Amino acid sequence: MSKGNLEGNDLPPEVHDVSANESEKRLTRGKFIAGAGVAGAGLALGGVPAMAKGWTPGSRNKALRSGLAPGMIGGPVGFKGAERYQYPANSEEGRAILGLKALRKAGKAPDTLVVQALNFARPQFENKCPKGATLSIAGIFEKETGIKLKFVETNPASEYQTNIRNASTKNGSFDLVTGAIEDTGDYAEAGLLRPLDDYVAKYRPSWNDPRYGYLGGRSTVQLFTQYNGKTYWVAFDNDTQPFVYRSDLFNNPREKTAFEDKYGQPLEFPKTWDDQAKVAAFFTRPDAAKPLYGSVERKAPFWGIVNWQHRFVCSADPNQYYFKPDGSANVNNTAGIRAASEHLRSLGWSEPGALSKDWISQYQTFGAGNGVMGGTFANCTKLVVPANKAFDKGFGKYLRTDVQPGRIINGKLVRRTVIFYNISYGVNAFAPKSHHEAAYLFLQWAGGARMYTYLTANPGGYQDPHHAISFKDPLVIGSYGAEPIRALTEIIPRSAPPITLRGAPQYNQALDQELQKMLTKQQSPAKAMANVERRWNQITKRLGTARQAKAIKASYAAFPPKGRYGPDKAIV
Amino acid sequence: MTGIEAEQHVRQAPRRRLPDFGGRSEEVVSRLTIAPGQLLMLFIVAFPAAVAIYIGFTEWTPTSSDNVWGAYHYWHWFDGYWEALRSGSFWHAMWLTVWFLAVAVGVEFVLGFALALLFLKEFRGRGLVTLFFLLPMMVVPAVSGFIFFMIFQVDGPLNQGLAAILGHNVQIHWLDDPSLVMWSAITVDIWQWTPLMFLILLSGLVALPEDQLNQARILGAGFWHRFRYLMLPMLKPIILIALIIRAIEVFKVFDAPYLLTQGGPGDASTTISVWLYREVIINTRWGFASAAAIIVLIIVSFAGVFAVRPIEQAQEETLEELVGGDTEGERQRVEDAIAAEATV
Repeated sequence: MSKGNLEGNDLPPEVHDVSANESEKRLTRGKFIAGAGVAGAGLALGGVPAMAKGWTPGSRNKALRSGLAPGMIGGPVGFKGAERYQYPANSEEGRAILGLKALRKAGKAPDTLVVQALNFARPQFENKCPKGATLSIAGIFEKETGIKLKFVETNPASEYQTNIRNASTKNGSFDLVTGAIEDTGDYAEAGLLRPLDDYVAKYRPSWNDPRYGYLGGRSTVQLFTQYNGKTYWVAFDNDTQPFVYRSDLFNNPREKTAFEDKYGQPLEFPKTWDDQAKVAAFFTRPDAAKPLYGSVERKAPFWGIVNWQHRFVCSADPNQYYFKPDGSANVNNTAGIRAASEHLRSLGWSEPGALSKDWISQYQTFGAGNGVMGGTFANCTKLVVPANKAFDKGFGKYLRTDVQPGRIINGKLVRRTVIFYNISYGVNAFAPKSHHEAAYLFLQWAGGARMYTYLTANPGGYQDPHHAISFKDPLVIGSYGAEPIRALTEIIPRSAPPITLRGAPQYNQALDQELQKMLTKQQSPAKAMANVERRWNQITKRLGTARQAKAIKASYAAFPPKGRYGPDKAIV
Repeated sequence: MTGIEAEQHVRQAPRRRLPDFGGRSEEVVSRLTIAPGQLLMLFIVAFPAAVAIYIGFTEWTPTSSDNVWGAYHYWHWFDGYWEALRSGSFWHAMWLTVWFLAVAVGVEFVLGFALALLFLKEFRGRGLVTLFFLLPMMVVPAVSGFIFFMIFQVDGPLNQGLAAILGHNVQIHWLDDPSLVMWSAITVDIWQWTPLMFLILLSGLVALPEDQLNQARILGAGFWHRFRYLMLPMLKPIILIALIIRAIEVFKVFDAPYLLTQGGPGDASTTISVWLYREVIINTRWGFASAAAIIVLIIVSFAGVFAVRPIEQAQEETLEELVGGDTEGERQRVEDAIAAEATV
């Protein structure tokens, strides 16, 4: 992408970088004219002269009347700071809206777009936020394009089955598909997801832009949107797994002294899995008046594999991958067996019944003060707060977030976190072809840096931020808390992919079953990894080794690049 | 109109003619009228079965980018069947299912029969207590699965209750321990479906001919003798039907093992339904799963044939015991009497 196409390069900072204070300043005539003039120049530079027609002196007045800041052509209005989420014509949202208007004018866009959405994602599209906002995101979209959004609900437990059925019946009754990134290979190979690269080239979303794009840059974009070298998704989430811990315990002088006496090293947030084991063992006190468990990562079926993955992917520089380039499994080795052994050992530091507990129980364990640390979801510290009595029993305020521990590889600290689920949207290839472009443009618009920041600032849903600019937004910071937001900026660039190949659920299930057998003492870690290797190789062979190997090689690009080490210091 | 006039009127009334169906014979007409129903049945039963058989010969999956009609591109004859027959996990799931079936149905039968005998006698509030005992059966299996998921937690009410009784901390891993998890799933099934067994057996017991039981009592037969030599033989067909119904249902058991542990830990509670679900939904191996399902169907069909045979045998025996001999004349007389009673 040329520099001229980068978001905001053709516009002065005051148009985009509207901080909370700046947004409260009143408009002046001088600023208005300057902004409008720069916006006009931006339109010309952006190579969208046809779209620029829409920006006339008359429309400037209209924009002002509508509550839009100078140079902005759309976005939310009616509340303090709304300008932060408004967009000029030469922005990813602007290009999407102008593209949609052009499509509508040419009769190439539908009156209604049918959006498949997760039940808990829907409110962020449909609820107005914050107080004073005149329209919801769906309302803004309808107002600006004349296209209605109709949502059809699904949920994480049934979304995969539903969409596999949709693929097998070539169901085109909805325009936008939702899914997890683990499903990408299956949906893409089944023909359910339409490749989006032509639209990406045409409308130039800002995903790679250092200021507006996805945190972590190209590798995160690959991870969040691509499979086998093609773009299939627009990301609407951030399910990278942070490591949460009880800061009061780590800062307690008595605990510090006791730990140092025992291990001869200071008590601090563990940056390696070896240190994590020491800290977890030290704090595990099941017989205390308030029982403490040192490592409360999820270990239940389905939920548990991510904790093996965390220990596995950081075993090489820059990353350890699950498969070799020839498609064969790469787990029956030191890295895989060590990760399995550590996963098994961590069961001894877990709360009773950990093998049948999901994330809700984990949040409750943290909130009740029984959990010392563990990998979890980004919204843990958003939900375990005093206002939420279902989770918090007074200990939520002590929770802090950091990157998962890692390993020292050739003298470098490699810390990696794995993504788990991640709500994504793609275009249903079976929907009428005349809807495809409009469907994509909706995604580019709602998934654009400004609009998506606005969406995640709404605490009503579970779609989490991943654009660089979102982490500076006061509403987003207010929703998540300053400390976890700071941590996420370190976590996302270090995110490693889960398995996103065709057959990912099969690979994951084989891994899950063998790990569960190991955790319940039915087999050793070495035997578990040998079984995983055997089963994965069978799956790969069945699905076509050459085809899988090609996708495996393509997925290397989604790993954090070499040189992305650390962080060496705890984030707090 | 007097009675005689009415009779004459009826006699004189012209015989109602069947409508003219365009010269078609009655047979054709009757076939045409039942055709929609039969076509519907064909669609409901035969169509899915045909599709299952068809894709069972292929390695088709919905992620193959061909739809189901294009499954022949992945034709591999009996490979799927062969793979299932050689699959350790398939036979493990079959074995767990048979084990589940034997224990669950056995315990449900004993408990259901005991309860039915208890409820045979009138007592105050019998209707209400019966209703109470039938309640578990009316709970949606998904709900009962979730309730027991909570009960069986290590820090759940079951362990807490045991701790209160024993006076010390109890941490039994009902769902995490591979040696216990099947028992936990079986417990859910027993809790939920013993009432059905109770209901069927109670209705059988209530329908037993009282005069014979009373005669036996008058002749000095104790409860055990009446139970052993009268009630049990007469109930035999009902018992067999109850056992077969439950066995068929238990063979399909899914809710309890899936909701409690998703068939785990590992595959420690993977019954055949859970195994098939995994192959279809998670592994998306629809062709392979169809082949495996057809193998299961064949096995169950054979088992069904052998299971039904004792019912026929029991009916024969009951008939013989009722007539007290096996001469053809007596047998015919009893059968005629039964037929006459049925007509009345």
